Amino acid sequence: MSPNVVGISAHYHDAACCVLRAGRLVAAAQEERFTRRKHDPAIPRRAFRYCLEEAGLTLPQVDCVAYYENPLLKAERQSWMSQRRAGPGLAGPDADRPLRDIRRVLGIEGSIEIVRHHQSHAAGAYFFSGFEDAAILTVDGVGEWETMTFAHGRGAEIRQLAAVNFPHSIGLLYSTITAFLGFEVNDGEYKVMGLAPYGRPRYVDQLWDLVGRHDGPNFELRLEYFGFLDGDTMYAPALAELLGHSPRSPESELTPFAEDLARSLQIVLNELLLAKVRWLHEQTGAEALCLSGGVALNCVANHRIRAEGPFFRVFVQPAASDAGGALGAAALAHVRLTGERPATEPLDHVFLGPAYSVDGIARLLAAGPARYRDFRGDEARLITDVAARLEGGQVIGWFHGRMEFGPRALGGRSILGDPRRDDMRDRINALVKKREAFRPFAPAVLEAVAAEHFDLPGPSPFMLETFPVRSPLALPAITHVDGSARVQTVHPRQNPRFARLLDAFGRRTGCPLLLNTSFNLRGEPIVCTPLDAMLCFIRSDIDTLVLEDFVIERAGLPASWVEWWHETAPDSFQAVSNVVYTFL
Amino acid sequence: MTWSQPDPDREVGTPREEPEPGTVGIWRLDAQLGAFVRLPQLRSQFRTWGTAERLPPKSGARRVVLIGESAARGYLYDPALTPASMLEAMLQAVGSGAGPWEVLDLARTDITAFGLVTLLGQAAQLEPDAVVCWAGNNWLDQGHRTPREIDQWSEHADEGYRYAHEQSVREVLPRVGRRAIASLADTCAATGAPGVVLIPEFNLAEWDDEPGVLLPYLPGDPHVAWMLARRRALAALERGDTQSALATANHMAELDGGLSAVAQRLRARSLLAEGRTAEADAAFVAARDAVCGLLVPATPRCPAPLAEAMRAACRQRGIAVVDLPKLFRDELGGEIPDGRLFLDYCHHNLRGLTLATAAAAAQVLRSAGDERPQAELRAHCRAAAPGLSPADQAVTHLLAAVHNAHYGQEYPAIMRHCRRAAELDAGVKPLMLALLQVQNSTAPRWMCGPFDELARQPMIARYLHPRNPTEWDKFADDQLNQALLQAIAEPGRDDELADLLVREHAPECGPVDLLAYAYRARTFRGREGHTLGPKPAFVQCTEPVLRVYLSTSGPRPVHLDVTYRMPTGEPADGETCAVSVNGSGFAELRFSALWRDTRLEVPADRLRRGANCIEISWPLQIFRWDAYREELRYCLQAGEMPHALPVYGEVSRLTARYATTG
Repeated sequence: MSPNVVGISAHYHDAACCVLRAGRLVAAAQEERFTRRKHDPAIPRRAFRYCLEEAGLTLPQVDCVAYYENPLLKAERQSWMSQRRAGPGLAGPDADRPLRDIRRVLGIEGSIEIVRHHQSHAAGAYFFSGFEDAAILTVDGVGEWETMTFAHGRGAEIRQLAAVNFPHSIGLLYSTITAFLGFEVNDGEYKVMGLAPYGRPRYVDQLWDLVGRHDGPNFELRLEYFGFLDGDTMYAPALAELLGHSPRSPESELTPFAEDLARSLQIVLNELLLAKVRWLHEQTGAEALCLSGGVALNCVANHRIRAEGPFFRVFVQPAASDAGGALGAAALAHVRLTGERPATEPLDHVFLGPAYSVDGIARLLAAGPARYRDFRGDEARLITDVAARLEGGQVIGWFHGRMEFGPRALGGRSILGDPRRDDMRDRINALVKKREAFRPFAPAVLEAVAAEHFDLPGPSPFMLETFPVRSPLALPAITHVDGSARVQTVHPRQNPRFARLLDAFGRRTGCPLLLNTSFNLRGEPIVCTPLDAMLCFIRSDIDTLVLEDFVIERAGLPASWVEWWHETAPDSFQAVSNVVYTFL
Repeated sequence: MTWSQPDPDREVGTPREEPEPGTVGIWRLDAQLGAFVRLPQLRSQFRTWGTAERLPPKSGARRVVLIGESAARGYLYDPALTPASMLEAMLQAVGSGAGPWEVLDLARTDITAFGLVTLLGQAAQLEPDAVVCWAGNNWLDQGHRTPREIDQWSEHADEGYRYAHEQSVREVLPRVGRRAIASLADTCAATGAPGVVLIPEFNLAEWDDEPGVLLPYLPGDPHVAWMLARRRALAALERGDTQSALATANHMAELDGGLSAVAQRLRARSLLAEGRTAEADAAFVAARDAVCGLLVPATPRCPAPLAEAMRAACRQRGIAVVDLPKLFRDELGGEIPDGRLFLDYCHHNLRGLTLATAAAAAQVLRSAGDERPQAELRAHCRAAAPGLSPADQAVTHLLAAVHNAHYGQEYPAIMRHCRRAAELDAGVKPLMLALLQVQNSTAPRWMCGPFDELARQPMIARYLHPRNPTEWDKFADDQLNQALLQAIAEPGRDDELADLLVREHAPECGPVDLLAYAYRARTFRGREGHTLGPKPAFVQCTEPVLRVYLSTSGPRPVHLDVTYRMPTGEPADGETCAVSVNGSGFAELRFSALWRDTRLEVPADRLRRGANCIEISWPLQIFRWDAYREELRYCLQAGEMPHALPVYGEVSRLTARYATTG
């Protein structure tokens, strides 16, 4: 009998849980969505409860729990770090914690499989890629000791070819510059990526000076420029001297220096990763590449790897950061238990989180005085209504079906707008996201017509790659300053209602695309429940909320709700450090 | 929650951090206005502070700053009536001599010892002529132990919670009290203002700790004997055999070494029934203080050793004291403080509030040179207390009913407040009906139509405010529902409630997760369990019964899918695990130390339309101290809060669905 395997990632950042039933991924969710603590690292007890319920499993029916890293190896590195960083306030490493939490907090009585951190990343990419033979590159800040691994997956086997060990880390290089630029480590890296196209590559040489040996699978940092080993910041004073600039203060004005440094970093990252995948190709001869680890969320580098790298096909794990480690751990545990790979078809969608019943939402709305329109039983009219609102320039909060797993909203919990409007980016930033004006928004486009608007070679369902915009339409709200966009292609098979909305909008306007950004306020996780969505709607200035079959306009909100909630911030929890990488 | 790791040399209040210039609580100095102005970005905190938009620059009035906790906010009367407004009215009316008085209200609900010390430092910027500090109920926080003290406990792990309790009452709590008073003295010294401290008192005779907090793990494995003795003592009290009840309760206290409030309260009630008031008083005090050091969440209180440390520190530093324990006993003619002065555990009713505030006013007046006797001043101040309309008082008692219910008090206490509310003002009944609707709807309270009506009452808006995160969840409110219906006393309302419960909660809408708070948790603590340590993904029962409420449309058979285990204990001889509905047994669960799935069928004829009470009565069990001691040691050394209470049973799934359709 095929086992029921639960995958867990936790105690670092982005704790998550998933369930494989008979080798099939049936549920996955990040703990932050339930606790509303962004990047919540705690053992994911709520996500665990959800996953069991979704899978129809009880605790005695769980055959195995797979944990996504080796606590002993991690503790070993932490001890090593603690010795270097002698000082008050540092608790000793607790290698017992993960297993203890799995037993005592989750209540697991059965077997626990430990999967190493980068093995989890590798398996999370390879076993969900659909490839039978693929090279695998994993790159992140650090996991246990490893920061980058090279592997070859064939059938049910993953063979590691080489690895780079801490403190030498491409991920930490990127995070160090992120911190230098005044953004939050572990969270602001994609802001640096978005900032890069505004700058000129004036600091490429200096950034290469941060890197020592990097031939073949090797990678070394010149540690005199980095503070994360001994100091309280990611960078050492020598970095400012090298760059001739002091670090940017958080929230301060973005100068041309910051733009230029971001641009230079992106170039160095692209070159490093391209070199690594080329070496990997030489070693494996595989036609396909799998990417995972936090650095694989860099869409610009992903595009360069696909466009210029030696591989014909590339799969990036949609939840490439630690959340996705839960998937890989579960998959590898399945292999260990059965000798077989868990699934052969590629991951087609990430709608793996909870859905909420239309009847339940109806009860929620009926309880109070909010005015709303009920489209139950008439989806076509709902779609027409929403498309008309979008055409009219409205910003829509869109809540439908199961919640996405991973960092991207892909039409389950999205904020939508008309990408043709000049003011839409600023409007959404002002109304909802309150984020830096330079950051671009992404488009969702019907897969069938995507090539008419973007220079892309095939489907891009997970918004993990940038492509040049070549649309006959002017799309200012989703086109970045360098003419690229972070595209999500939508196939009716993956999200039929969202596809129908795109189609309806296209029929009305000739533009089968929508601006698609995550449904959340700044500093909070993406909404999970209808109530989260309602609160986000009230707190922001989104024009209309679509909760499954119900449409609520801002004018339909009771005055008391607005008085209680409008412009109040969600509770803010600092679940992870934003000063230094959370490896302690 | 983990242990806090303060610098061992830095105890609460010493050395005090320099106050941030221009900041007092949620107010910031506006240099142009010369006033401290409430910061809009701290809006989420507003409901815990006074309502003043501004703290004005000092004028000719003599200025008193009132700092404290929820008791000093006049919890459940606030904002209709607050101790600050009452104090100001008393000083204006009774004070003599130069000019008017003003009282700035810096009391904050939920303020911690650390927060209080910070606020005391900030308050100097307001140039007070007197500082009144009414605090000490919120200092039972477990984070006050230093790493050295945790190590010491670890070394004495063989003694278990006995050592922890003694360490808490002998060292930790007195230190916190001393340092807080020292901080007040610093502020007084810096400003030249005299200080007045109110030593808090507790609703000793009537307040019960939550039913989930019985007895911690103990060396010698006495749980079975203790639980059996408890049954006997309760039965003896029930039949009026107070001597037997007292003897049995004394035996319980010997077994638990004074670590259970349950045993002490049984002793106290037996002694009271015997007319031995002084001994009963001491036993009630012991019951209140039994929780010290146990690492379980508890309602705010000021244990005797803390109060004594505060008194001593005040004496040493020349700070005037309003000793509420003494004042209240004098008021009651030597009887034990109870609901005649309290709304709940530590918050006062109008009588208690007036009494305490008048005593504080009298001390302030004395410090300002009024030489009249304190008793005379108190009497004058009391007479000058501002009134409160019966309608507002009724609202307070309605809120007190909710608060008592959600802190685990039984039906009589809840009913008393509901009845009192209706007696004070029949106009409160529409609010009771609105409360019934919002409490029993699946939608969050603030989304329910009738909540608008409730929120129009400022006192209700404060307590049940939508942005009050502790008030978001729904509870298994059967007792509160029954009390409200009883107080409303209108025909047909029972049926309306049953209809609402069926519409919102019955399995007609699909399987019902009976572990959800709305069906299982009677109290705030009951939601996540009585531990300060990691919260599990399943329900842990620290009382020997799990009670859930299932709403059904009538007599239809229901399937209960249960996943459970009894992981730590060994069943005592002859003990079974019975399952009942509405008091009628219909099944037994097999003892299982490991998770076990089972399906039970609830017979149709045992179910009624509306709420049905399903109980799983766990067997009495032997909990092995030797095994637990190692767990305790691990936690103390790893920086994790240990789970102090034995677990009778754990349930990871309890789902109800109709056995047949139609």
